[in-house]
Amino acid sequence: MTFLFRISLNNPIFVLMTLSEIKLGESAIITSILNNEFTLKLVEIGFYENKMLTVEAKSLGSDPICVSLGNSKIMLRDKEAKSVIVRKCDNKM
Amino acid sequence: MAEIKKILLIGNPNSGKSSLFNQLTGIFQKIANYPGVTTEKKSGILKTSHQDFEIIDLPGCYSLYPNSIDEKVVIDELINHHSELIIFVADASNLQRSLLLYTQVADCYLPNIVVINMADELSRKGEEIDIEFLSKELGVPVFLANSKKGEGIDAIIHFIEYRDFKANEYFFGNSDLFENKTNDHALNYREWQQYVYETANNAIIENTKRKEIIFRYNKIEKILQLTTRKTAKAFKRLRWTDRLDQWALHPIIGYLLLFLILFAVFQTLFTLASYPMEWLDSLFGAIASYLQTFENPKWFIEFLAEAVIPGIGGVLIFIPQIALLFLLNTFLEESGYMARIVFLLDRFMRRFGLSGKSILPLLSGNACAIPAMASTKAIPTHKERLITILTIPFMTCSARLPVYALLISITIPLKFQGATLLGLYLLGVIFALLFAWILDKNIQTKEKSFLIMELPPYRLPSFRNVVTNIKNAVIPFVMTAGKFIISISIILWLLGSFRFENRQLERTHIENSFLSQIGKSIEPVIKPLGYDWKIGIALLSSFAAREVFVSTLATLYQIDSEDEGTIFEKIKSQKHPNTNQPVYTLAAGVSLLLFYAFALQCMSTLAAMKKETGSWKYPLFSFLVMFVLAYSSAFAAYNIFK
Repeated sequence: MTFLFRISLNNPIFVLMTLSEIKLGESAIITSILNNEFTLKLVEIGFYENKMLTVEAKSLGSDPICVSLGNSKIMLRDKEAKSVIVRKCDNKM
Repeated sequence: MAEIKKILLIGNPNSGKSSLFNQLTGIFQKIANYPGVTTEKKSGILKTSHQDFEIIDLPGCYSLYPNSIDEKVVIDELINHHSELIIFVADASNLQRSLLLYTQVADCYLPNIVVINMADELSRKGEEIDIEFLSKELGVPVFLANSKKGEGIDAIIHFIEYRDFKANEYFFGNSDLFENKTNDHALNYREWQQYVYETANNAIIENTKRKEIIFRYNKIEKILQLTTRKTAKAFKRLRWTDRLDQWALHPIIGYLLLFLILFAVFQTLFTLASYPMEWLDSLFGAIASYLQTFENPKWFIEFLAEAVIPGIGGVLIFIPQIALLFLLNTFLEESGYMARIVFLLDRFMRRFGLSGKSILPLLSGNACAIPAMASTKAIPTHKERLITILTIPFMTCSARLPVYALLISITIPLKFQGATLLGLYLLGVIFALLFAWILDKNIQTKEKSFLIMELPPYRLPSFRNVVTNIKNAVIPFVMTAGKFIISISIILWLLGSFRFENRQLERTHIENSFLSQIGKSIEPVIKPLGYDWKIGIALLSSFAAREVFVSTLATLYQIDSEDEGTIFEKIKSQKHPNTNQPVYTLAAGVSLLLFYAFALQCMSTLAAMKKETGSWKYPLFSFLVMFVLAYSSAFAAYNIFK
């Protein structure tokens, strides 16, 4: 357990960030959703652990953004994107 | 007769639920409002050879946990009312999300069937579904349908006609997840929903809901892996949408495109609708003058020709614009572009408490507020819709133009005329946004403000849906707002044509009528604004429609000419009888212009507002606020320019 944990810390792939920090065209995997008023709505529309997403478009001021998630495209505002915790992944599916 | 059995239609937004509803019920539809919310309750009758069923089209939602007041209608209908069968409409292009809602509905333990709608999307998408297997996994009949083209509908109707409806097994199973924390026993899902419905939200409930949804998604993913298959075509399908979105959502080109599209919409509304409007206008003019060729009984002919016919004409004249706006609106909504408009404009509009979808109603408010109000239905949250409705009357509608044209040409110096007109347009927009901002700060709401919304793949709108939407906008307008407009038109005519003389009701010219008595009695009120009692009468009668201002003045000054130039000249030359000062000075002109820019001087708008908000509270509020604004700005302007 300790061993695994150490690997994840050393490996830059496992750096956690919020969805709003992901740049245009980059992909990421959801690791968790913060608990707040948007949680349920996010989970309902398909944002939950281990799902992969790609940032497809950002409007002026990066708010709202558009991500592809599975087969659908979802737009969400910056404050909602800030409650989606992701880790970056390299290859787009 | 036995009580008519009820069937509920439930599904996600954009799942083609409404077109299935149209297919099942045909012309037997009824639209009412749910008490307390602006959501429309659409119900219709399905006639089969054995018996009739009442079909209710519930608002689209993503789960049974409501995010807005409007969505609450769904869970309320499910757990608090009895229904015979639930037709669950699943969107073939997003089965996973559809099934989330479905499994929740199924766990409420009511007989149900699943209709996988827009089945043509499946082959286009390169996906195949094993319907029999899926039906076995879910434990209920599953139908494939394409409601826009009417495919697969017969099988559904046949099933409703001949089968006994059964509920399926609990999808979730009895679980200790749903514990009632107050008396510590496990609930079944229906009881749990009841408990959630009645209990204030708390962290434990929220957490349970979240666990439940993730559990469902995991189980659904497994089922879909077994029952659906993707071909290589699958990923090709989304390519078109992706390509278009690269332009449509681009931070620069996207806005240019949006601007062009909105400009085209506005131009169409403004120019194209004006032809049928002119035809209708001259048609009703012709009917009225034809009627006047009859002699007897005189009062009745006049009543018909001057009150009833113009009243009916005054209602019908809005139909071309309403129809055209809904044509464009449905096109934008169904093609998927509306969601892109929201994406592009959300950041700007939400500062004023408006939605990205408010742009179309506000823009069409520049043509006419009546269709604009009707088109606010697309706005998802209650508050944003209300703010949009209250804001629309500030936009410079086309009925203000003849008034502006008259007043500007007779009171404003020539070199400022263009700038004044432009200024009045800008004034409308600025005050609309300002008013929206103030409302946003002051309207309390329990609704959460968020924008987590799907951008649907582009698709061609169906002709049938366009027609139905237009019909559903036009008919209620004629029935509700229309009644009111015709009544006011008759009342104004009566006031303008009669007076009491020696305790007898007597037919008279407008100058001596009740209306002019009212005009004279309000003179003290409007004198500070620089108006005399004749302008007062014109103000009152233009409540029927703003442009009536010009024709009323022409009648009052007994100008016979049809020529606009002559009318303008004669009105300009009017002088106060006592002081011999000109009536239409610069000060009076600016004052009147501001009054018309702000005052909600239009009964049709008020009637439409009542229809859309479901209460007289908002039209009254709007009228008072705008009147105070109009009066005070006109007063200030008159005293500055005097």
